[in-house]
Amino acid sequence: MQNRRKPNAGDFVFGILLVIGAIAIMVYSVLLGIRQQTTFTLSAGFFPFLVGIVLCGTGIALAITGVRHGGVQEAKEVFTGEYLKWFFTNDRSVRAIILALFMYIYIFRLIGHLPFMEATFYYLFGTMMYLKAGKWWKCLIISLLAAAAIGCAFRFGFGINLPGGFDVHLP
Amino acid sequence: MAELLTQLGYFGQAAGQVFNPSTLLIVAGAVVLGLVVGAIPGLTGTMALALLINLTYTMSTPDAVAFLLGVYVGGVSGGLFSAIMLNIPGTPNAAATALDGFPLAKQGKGGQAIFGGVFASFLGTILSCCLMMILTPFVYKVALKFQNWERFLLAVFGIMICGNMSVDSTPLKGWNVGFLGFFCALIGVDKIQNTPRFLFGIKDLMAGVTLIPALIGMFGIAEVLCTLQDKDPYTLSDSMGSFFPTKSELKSLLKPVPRSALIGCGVGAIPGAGEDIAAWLSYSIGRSRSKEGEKFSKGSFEGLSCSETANNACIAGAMIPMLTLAIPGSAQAAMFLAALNLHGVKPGPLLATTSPTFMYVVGVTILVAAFVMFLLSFVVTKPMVTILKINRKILMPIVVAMTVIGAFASRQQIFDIKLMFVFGLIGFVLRKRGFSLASMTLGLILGGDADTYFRQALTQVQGNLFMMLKRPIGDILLVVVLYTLISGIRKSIKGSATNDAIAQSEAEIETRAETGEV
Repeated sequence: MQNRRKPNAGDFVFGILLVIGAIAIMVYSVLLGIRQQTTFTLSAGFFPFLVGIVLCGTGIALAITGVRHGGVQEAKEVFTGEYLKWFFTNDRSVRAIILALFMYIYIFRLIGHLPFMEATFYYLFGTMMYLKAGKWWKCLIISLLAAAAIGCAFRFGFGINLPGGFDVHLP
Repeated sequence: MAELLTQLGYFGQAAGQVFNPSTLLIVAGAVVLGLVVGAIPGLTGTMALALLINLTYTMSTPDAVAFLLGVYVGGVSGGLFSAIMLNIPGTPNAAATALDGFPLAKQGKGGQAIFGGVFASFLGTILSCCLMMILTPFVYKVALKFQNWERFLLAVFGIMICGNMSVDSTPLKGWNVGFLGFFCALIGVDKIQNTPRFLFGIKDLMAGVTLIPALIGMFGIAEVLCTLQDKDPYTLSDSMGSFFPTKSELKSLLKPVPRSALIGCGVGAIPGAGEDIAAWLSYSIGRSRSKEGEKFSKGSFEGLSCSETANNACIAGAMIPMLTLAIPGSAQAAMFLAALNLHGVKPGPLLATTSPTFMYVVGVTILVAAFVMFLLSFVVTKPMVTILKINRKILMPIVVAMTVIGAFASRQQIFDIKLMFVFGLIGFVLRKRGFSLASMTLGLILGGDADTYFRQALTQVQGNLFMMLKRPIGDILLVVVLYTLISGIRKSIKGSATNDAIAQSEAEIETRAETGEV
């Protein structure tokens, strides 16, 4: 079976990305220094500029380490239709992407728009159903109880305000 | 002599503060909470601290310290239960424990192994805590001589040494994320000239990257994603058997305790090194020094004691640099530092003068937590077996809901929850790529202060960098940083022998978990 793990390609690509990011940081820092019209070494841009240089150096070193261990060849294998298709369709990747998507919807679309307990119930029920944590009615009961328990415990037990408020809008 | 009496006086005052019924009750509750969270695979002590910080908002500072240290001690010790009974370390620092604990459980000595692990953890915590209380006043004296330039160099040294000690990666990778953390800490309005930096058009970033949501994301969300990626259910080992070891087993348990406690305390004091490195290092040295080294990994009480003593000894060790220099020795200590900042306590050299009893409050609380952990571990062992059966597919989504409250609680901003999610994804990707999250955490914590110290030092010498080379303590630190850099580069090129050994041992555990072999 072909080895699907490509750690050196990862190091090589991460190193390159880091160098690009570090250059952007350095340019931004220099412009910040110029805008402040003061000695560059005393401006707010000097320290980030130094951090940019360090990141650039370590990024280059990481990329070189990747190249020395066959990272370029691995990267060529990674950026092929077949590998990318495998990467995005294997069980573990799909599960991680879908779980992250559930979290995104919960945090960006539900929290702040709905009361906390309601938003949490939708998230818990959806995620448990996706993970096949149990029969649907079991997931429903656990989600309801867990959302209510967390909301009440934090609001009344520990006196912490909940994002989106405590009250639930009943139909 | 007068100095000794003064310190004893501080110790007495601290003991008076800790030994009151409500604080003792808080420690007991927190230790149990830590033991349970630490025992459940996928929930780490760091995650527990991150999630539970928000419970301390309404507490007084001594109560908050008692609560967090209780969770810390319990969380580090709790990992041994699942390591022994399931061959799955509840926390990364219990990975070495599984090597001997699980074979012992398979031999029907699960109860004795749990007693051995708990006893070794207890002794490790006590010994290193005593060392901490003896050494810290001396470190304070040295630390008080440090000025801005030296403090900046210490922050850089923290990142460098943390990268060097990373278990899962090469020093180069540790430094990469460490300085990335430095950069993230620079986002927002700078403290000296009030200049906005790296806002990317997001006004909410004016206040910078809020530490607690970022840490909750990296250790909570990332952990949940990593855990739920796997489908594998786990099975419990056979019956536990008796709790009490025989005389010869007890002798084997006690033999490596002093050495392992010293190793644990020493490793704990190294910024970012953490409990897992202490456990592996102590285990590796124990195996090479033992007359019965061949029995290690096959069910040796001596091996079990090596790892458990060291990982718990790390707790007090990690407090030394945190209290004296504000540089946390481990990820858990970093969480503790963040919580102290929330309560207005600013660790560092000045703490010795502003609040001289504080170090002893921490020390006495750790001692109390160790005693409570020792006693309660036997009470919770049987219920723990039931808790270990909780379905992770139910537990983990509930943890996500708790991370949301944790991120929101400190500033009551929805933006902080979004920030937590972004850092969760960053943490997940970094973990998958073998980067050290401890380095990133250290960078996030130290970056802001390092910027301030560096620029204040520069202002003192009118921007002339060469003037700073005339400071002897700074020069020594600079040489140490350069040495760490060179040794780290060598290690990165050759590949670390320690990392290879650890990787080999972890692979051994994984193989065993798959095959169920002893």
